[in-house]
Amino acid sequence: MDFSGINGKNIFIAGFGKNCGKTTFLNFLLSRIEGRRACFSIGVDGEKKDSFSGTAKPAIKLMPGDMFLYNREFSAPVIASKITGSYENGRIIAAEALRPGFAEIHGPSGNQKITEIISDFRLAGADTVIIDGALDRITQAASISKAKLFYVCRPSPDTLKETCLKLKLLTAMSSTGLFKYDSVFSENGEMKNGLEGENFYLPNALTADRAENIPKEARNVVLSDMTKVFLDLKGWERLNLSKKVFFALNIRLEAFIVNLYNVSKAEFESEAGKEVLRRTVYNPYEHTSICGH
Amino acid sequence: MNILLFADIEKIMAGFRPLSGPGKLESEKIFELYDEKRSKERLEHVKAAFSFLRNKKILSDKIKYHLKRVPILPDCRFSGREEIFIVKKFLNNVKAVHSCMENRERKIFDFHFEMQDLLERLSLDSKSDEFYISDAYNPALAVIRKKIAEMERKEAALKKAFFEKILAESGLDFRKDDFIIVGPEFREKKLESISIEPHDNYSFIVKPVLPRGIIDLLFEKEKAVKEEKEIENAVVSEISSEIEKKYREMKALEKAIARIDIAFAAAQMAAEMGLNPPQLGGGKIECEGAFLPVLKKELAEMKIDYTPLSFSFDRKINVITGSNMGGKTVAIKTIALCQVLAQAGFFVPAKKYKAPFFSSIFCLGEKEQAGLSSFAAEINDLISVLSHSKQPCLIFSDEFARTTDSLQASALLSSLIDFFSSRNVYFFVVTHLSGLAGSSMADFLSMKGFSGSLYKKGAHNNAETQADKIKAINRHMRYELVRSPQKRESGDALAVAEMLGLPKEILSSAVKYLEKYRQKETI
Repeated sequence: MDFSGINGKNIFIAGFGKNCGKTTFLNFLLSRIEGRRACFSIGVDGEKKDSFSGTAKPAIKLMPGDMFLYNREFSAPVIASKITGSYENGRIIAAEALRPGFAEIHGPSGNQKITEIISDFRLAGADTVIIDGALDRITQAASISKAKLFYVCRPSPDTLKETCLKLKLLTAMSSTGLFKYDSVFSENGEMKNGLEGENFYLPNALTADRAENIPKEARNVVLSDMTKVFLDLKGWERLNLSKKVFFALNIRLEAFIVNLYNVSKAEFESEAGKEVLRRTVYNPYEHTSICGH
Repeated sequence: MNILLFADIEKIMAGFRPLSGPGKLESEKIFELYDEKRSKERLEHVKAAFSFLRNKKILSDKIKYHLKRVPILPDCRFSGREEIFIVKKFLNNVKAVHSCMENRERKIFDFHFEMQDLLERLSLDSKSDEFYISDAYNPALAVIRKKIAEMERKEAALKKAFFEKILAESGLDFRKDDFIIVGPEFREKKLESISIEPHDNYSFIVKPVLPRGIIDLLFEKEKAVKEEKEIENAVVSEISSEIEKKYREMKALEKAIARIDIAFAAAQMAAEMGLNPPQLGGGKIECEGAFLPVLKKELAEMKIDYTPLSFSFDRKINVITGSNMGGKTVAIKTIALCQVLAQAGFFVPAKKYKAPFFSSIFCLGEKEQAGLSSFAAEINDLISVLSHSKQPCLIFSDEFARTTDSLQASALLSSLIDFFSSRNVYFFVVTHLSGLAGSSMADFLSMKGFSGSLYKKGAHNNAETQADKIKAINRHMRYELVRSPQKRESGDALAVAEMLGLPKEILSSAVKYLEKYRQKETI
């Protein structure tokens, strides 16, 4: 895949399961971005080790001028840096690297601040902003800022089926139509809730129970976004057969970054199916001479 | 029921938005209502901020810009450059707010900035909010940093040559990546410049093995960076002790900023909602043009007129009766809101509001309590209010004892009126109960209710939806508060029921029963 299209964009990296390689992919992207970069994560990352290099994580490789966030309650960054700002009563510190080096990145505990932080980084001169965070934490910001989303997974023999089902579900959901934003959200940003005419609005999570209880008279079901869907693939397909489903917020899925582990490409391809493969980028750190495992 | 809950304070306070860290923290305590001195002080601050907002728009915007950037000070144990950064950001923005004010205004807020020396010490790197331990703090930093920069240049050149060599030997490109995944064919490659470890059953991870020259350089650099860190730590420790010496003065500044921020936020809210300064003192509650801002806005959206409350309450005990949906509860909620805001030192939603300062304010009402009936919960609440009230006390009661036998409820309420009449208690009672015994201390008031002539025109007959019916009732209802005979009976309940669409069969039967009861009462 040609990653040059990410320059100047807001990039969100989400992942399926722990140690799937999000941080490694973040470093991979950073080394390919031109111009000034900024990065931060959302929420606390519980993973201790990088899945590939085996080094302590999350260690992000930064260059002079790169901007990042760290949590002052954790360790201060080793990298020489200038402090440029703070969030959450000084708990989260914004800094700019002055020399090449590594830093742990952190970010706000709530997702309300994400848009503000992106905007602050942009004002400070960042061309490209990368956000490392769980899918359910980035929805609003990802949709508003028209971001590119990379979804990282690491299928192993034990998780191959489950991972492929998740990727199929994401693929199916990514082709779901959008409802007009203004007709779903009020001025204060609250989404409509309940039946209105033939539209059923559901701002909360769509579980199997809730799907069963969608009013019969509803022709259209309007969900907040793909992160609020807690159905399996069959449940999603069933819902789409009986109702016309829409999302209120759009998340642009750029690619699946598939880091195969003890799984051959042939095994993955037979399980994933054509639609998933169309969005798949295999292990980008792979030497190009490896073909088909 | 909590008086803040009864006054719907949360709704109106959505318009109150302090900007600074200290202001936001202080705003959690603004409804500690019973400190008269603090209340008066805050009102003076809000008045000053209101006048500032109105007369100095550009400076007001500048103040708001800097308030938003004032952080909460770290606690007194300074341990690192992050704390120094926060102090610098704090002083920079506090100074900017200070420079927007004249001496007269600074005096009102007790706001004096005498930290120029410390701010200059923290600004050796730059005057902006950013912080970096620059070479200006210690000349030794410049020397060591120059050394590190030279080593970095050398490292980059060596690595470039080394990675190009690997690329030529193996075709693996480490110029951007720290590791590469390869197939089994690379296992056979015996190169000193790379290490190969299994990744999974199909592939291997290859990493560059840096030559001795680069590793030695990295060790050298690490030593230099450690030396730099030690000098930086010494600078941090020096600056920290200077900050600690000024900590008390900075905390005073933090309090001043909280005062200013609260006052500007309250003044902004007052300007947006059309609030005015109250007058606290004297023995009477008087209001003119008082309103509930949120309700007024909601009605305006429905194109319904709002009738503000204008009344002079001559007595301490006020019993308010009137039609269902006649505005009784709105009337006492309006007084409650004005009083709570006034005691907090805020402007109030009224053209004029004058009232005593109360030492305690309560609302009697049902509070859900496990295992208790509504009535028992109310009585428990009453007992609690009686034991906690400090005089002068203001108590609101919205349909007290409505869930029990009406005769006994009337007796209980009459007794309560007698009890409060002999104390310094201002008691506002909304009730449908008739036949309350009259204390000479009590005033009996009622809402005007339906305008008969308008209602008879049958304008409501076109109302189809529930919302239309409510609109129709609102159009015909007169919400003015008036003095009324002690035992006035509210006769609008059946009319309201009719307008809401109760079946005629039930209504006409109810009218007949009502006539029978009235005949009995006359006999």
